[in-house]
Amino acid sequence: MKFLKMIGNFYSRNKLSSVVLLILFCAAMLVANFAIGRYRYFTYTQKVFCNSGLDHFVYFMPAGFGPDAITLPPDEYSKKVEDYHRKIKSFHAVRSIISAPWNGSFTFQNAAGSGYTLYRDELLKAFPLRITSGRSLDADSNSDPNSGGGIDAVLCGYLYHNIKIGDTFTVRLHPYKSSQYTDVKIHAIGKMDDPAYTVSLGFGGTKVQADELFDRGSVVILRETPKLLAFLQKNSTPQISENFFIDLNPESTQKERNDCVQYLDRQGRFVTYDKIKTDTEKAVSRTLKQELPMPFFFLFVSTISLISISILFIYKNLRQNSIYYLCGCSRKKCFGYMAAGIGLISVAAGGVNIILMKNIGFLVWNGFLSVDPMIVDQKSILLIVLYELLVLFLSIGIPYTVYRRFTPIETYRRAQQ
Amino acid sequence: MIRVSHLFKSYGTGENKFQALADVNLDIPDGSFVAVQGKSGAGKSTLLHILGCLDDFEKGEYFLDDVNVKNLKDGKLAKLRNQKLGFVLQDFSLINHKSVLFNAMLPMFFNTTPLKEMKQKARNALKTVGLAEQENKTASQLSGGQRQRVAIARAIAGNPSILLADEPTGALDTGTSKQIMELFSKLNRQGLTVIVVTHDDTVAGCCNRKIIIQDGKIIRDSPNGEG
Repeated sequence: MKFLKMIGNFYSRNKLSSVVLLILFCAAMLVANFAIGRYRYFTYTQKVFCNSGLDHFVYFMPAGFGPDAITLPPDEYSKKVEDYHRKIKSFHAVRSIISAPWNGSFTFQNAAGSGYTLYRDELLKAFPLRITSGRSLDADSNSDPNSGGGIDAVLCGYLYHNIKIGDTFTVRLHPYKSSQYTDVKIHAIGKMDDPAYTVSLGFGGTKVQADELFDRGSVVILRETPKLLAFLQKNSTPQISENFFIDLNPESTQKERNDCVQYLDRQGRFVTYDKIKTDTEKAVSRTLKQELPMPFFFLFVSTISLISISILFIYKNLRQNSIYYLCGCSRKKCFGYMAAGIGLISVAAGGVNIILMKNIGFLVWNGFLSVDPMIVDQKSILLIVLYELLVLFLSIGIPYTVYRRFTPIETYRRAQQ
Repeated sequence: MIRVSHLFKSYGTGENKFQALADVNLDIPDGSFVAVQGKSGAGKSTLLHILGCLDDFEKGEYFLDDVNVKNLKDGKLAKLRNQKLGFVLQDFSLINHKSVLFNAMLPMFFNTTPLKEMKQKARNALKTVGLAEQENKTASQLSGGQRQRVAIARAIAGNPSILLADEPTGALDTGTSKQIMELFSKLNRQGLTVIVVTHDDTVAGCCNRKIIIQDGKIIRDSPNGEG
C-alpha cells in the first residue's frame, strides 16, 4: 500500500509528463511492432522454406500441360496431373515427390470466397503450419467427412475470427457437374492468424522465390486422406497445381539421376532447392533494403526519444528523491519507485499495443486501418515485453549509474541547483 | 551517543583539494543540545552531513550508538538515517505540492510503520509543532516559519534519537527564529539530542554546548556561557 502511494506520489506532480510518456511509449512500441512485424513478414516464407528439409529436392514445373490444360474440366486436369506424378515416380532416381495440395472452394455463412486446402502428411512435415492458437493437424486428426463431430481443420485468415477453437461449423460444397450441394461439418482445432500462408506451388518461372510457393488468404486446412479426397472429388471440385517437388535420391547412381534430370529438362523446367534458396536470399535482401530502413529509422528515433524523455522525467523527480534520501530512503529504493512509475506507464502502453495488435485483423478487415502486411502474433507480445525491459533498463540504468557515485547530500545539492 | 575520532574529509583532488575536516574528535552524549558554529567554509555543515550519514569521509571513525558508520553500505546508512536521525535544513526541503500531513509522514514510508500508525504519529508531531490545524494544506500554502515547523514535525515524527539542523533559522525572521529555537529546546527537554549548525550567536546561545570550527578543526568545545 505504501509502495503504491509512493508511486502515486511519483505521478501526482507529473500528470502531463506521464501522459506524454504514455503516448510516446505507445507510439514507440507501435513502431517497434510494425518494424519487427514487417521484417518477420519479409523473411517468413524464406525461413519456412529453409527449414523444410527439402535439400535434395528439385522444384519441377512441367510444360507438358500447356495452355490447353486450362480449358480441361477440373477432374480431367487433376487426373492428368496424377498420371504425371506416377510417371515421375517410376524413375529409379526418384525417392518420393511432394505434390501441391488439393484446393477447392465452398460457401461459408452464405458467402463464397473461401475454400479448403488438403495437406498431406509429407507436406505438413516439410511446411509446418504457423499455428497461432490451438493445435496443428496430425495423424490423429479426424478426416472422416461422415463423422458427427466434423472434419478437424486449421482455420486461416480473418474470415474465421469469430470461430473459436473447438467450435463446429457447416460449409456448403458445390460439385462441378451438378447444382446439388452437400453440407459438411468442420471442427476447428487450430488457427493461423493473418498473414496465413499455405503451400500452393502454383508459380512457374526461371527464378523461383520462396514466397511464390505460398498463398495467403482465408482457407480451411484439412488433412488429406484417400477417403476425404474421394468425398471431396465427388461433392466439390478440388484442383491441384501441376508443379511439385521431386526428391532425387543421393544414393542413386549418376546415370539414374541423369536419366531423370534429362527427362525433366525435356518435359519442363526445374530449379534446385539451393537455387530457390539463393534467389530467395537475394530477393529478401533487396526487399529488406527497400522496405525496412524507414520503419527501423522510426524505431531508432522513437526509442532514443523515449529513453531521453524517460531520463528527463527521472531528473525532474530528482529533487523529490533527494528529499527521500534525507528521510531515510536508500538509493535503490528511490530508483525502484521511479522504475515502478515508468514501468507502469510502459505496462499500460504495452497493454494498449497488445489490444491494438490483437484487433488489427478486425481493424484492417473493416477498413478502419490500412497497414502494410506484417506478422503479429504471440511472439510480438514477447518482443514488446523485451523492448519495454530494454527501454526501462536504459532509462533507469543511465541516471542510476550517474548518481550512484554521489552521496545523498551531493545528490541533494545537485537537485537544488 | 555520537563518537567521532580523527575524522578527515576533503573535496577535490590535486591542487584543487580542499580539506573540509581535519582530525576532528567529538563525543556527543544522548540528550545534548549542541551548537556548531564557524565561518562560512569552516566545515560545520560537512560535519553535520557526516554525522547525519548523508556524506562519506576518508579517514577516522564515526560511531553512532556503537554502530561503526564507516563500513556501512547505502541501504544500511539509509536505515540508520530513517531510524535514528531527523533533519531540518535551511531550505525546509519539503515536497511543496503535497500536504503537510504527507510531508510529516514521509520518513515512515521507508520503514515498516503501518499506514494508520504513520498518520497518528505524523499528527502527534504536527501537534507538537503547533500545526495540527494545517495538515490538509499543501506545504507551498504555508509561511516560511510554518514550513520549517513542518520540517521539524517530519524530523521528529518517526521518534529519532538525534535531530540535526543545518542553519534552521537562516531563512526566517528574528521572531520566527526564536519560536523555532524554543521548539528545539522543548524537544531537547523531552530527551532528543539536538545538533544545530548556525553562524547566528543568538541561535547558538539557546544551546547548552557550543563547538566552534575553523578550517576544518574544532578550535573550541565548551558548555555555553564558558567564553
